[in-house]
Amino acid sequence: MNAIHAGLWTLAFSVVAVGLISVHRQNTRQMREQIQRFETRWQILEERYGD
Amino acid sequence: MGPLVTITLATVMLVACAGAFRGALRSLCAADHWRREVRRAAEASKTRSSPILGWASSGCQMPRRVWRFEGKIAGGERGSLELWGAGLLLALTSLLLLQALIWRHRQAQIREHFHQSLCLKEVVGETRRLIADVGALNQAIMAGEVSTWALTFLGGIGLVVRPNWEQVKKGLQLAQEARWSAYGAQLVRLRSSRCRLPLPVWAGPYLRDWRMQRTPDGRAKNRASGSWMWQTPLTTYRVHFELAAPQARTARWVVL
Repeated sequence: MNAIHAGLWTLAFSVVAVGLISVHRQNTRQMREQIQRFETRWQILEERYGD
Repeated sequence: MGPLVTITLATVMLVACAGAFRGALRSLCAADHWRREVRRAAEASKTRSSPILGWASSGCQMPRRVWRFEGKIAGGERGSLELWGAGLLLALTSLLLLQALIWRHRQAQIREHFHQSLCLKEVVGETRRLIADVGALNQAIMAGEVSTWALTFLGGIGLVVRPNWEQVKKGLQLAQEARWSAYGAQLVRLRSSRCRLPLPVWAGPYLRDWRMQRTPDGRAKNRASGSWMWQTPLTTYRVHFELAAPQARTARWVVL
């Protein structure tokens, strides 16, 4: 019973920790992609209209 | 991890935390219950005889209820640990939610900033093109080729500029705020309407309608009106405009 109890607690903490890490990684990746899209679009506009 | 997964994970964690809290509180309540039982038994033994005598007469052994009480005290200690664990889990879950919310808010802010920057840059470029086209139209009118060249150049404007309504609105605000007199033109009025015609995408932006305003005796008033229509995958936009040369011999145009 104690082993099951400890396992459940470990599982719960692990799920939350994995969630924290994955949310952070996903947000960082999204931000990087957003900046890249902006820079690409900006370059296109500069080529089209100049400075 | 999408928002649905985040919300589902957080809900599961919150339910788990609530269950752990419930179990811990039940353990603590059970400990309180047995503490009250022992106190009641002690009070009852006082009324019968002295506790020392009662204890001695029971063979110097702890009453069974006291043992059970101590067992529940041990359960209460375990419940306290569960309470701490559940609190920590709840804090981590809250941190997860808070992190997701803060990042989402920050990303929305940055996306809006990027969008505004790109729109402004595009508006500046498109407005320069528009002014150049209007200048060319002005030259054509000055050369006395109003009717034919106006159609040609207005069609050119409609095909080349290809603005969307958000950019036009931002351009209008920009013109009103910055007063782009340096470009010799001023945006004063620009009407727009949305129509949800099932036009094919290949129809694209084109000059839908235009007419030269004429005086009662048939002379051109140096004004032209028309509309641009273009289509996005979601809706079709139409912008009505009027062009006028307020001073006939100046090279400046006012876009009404």
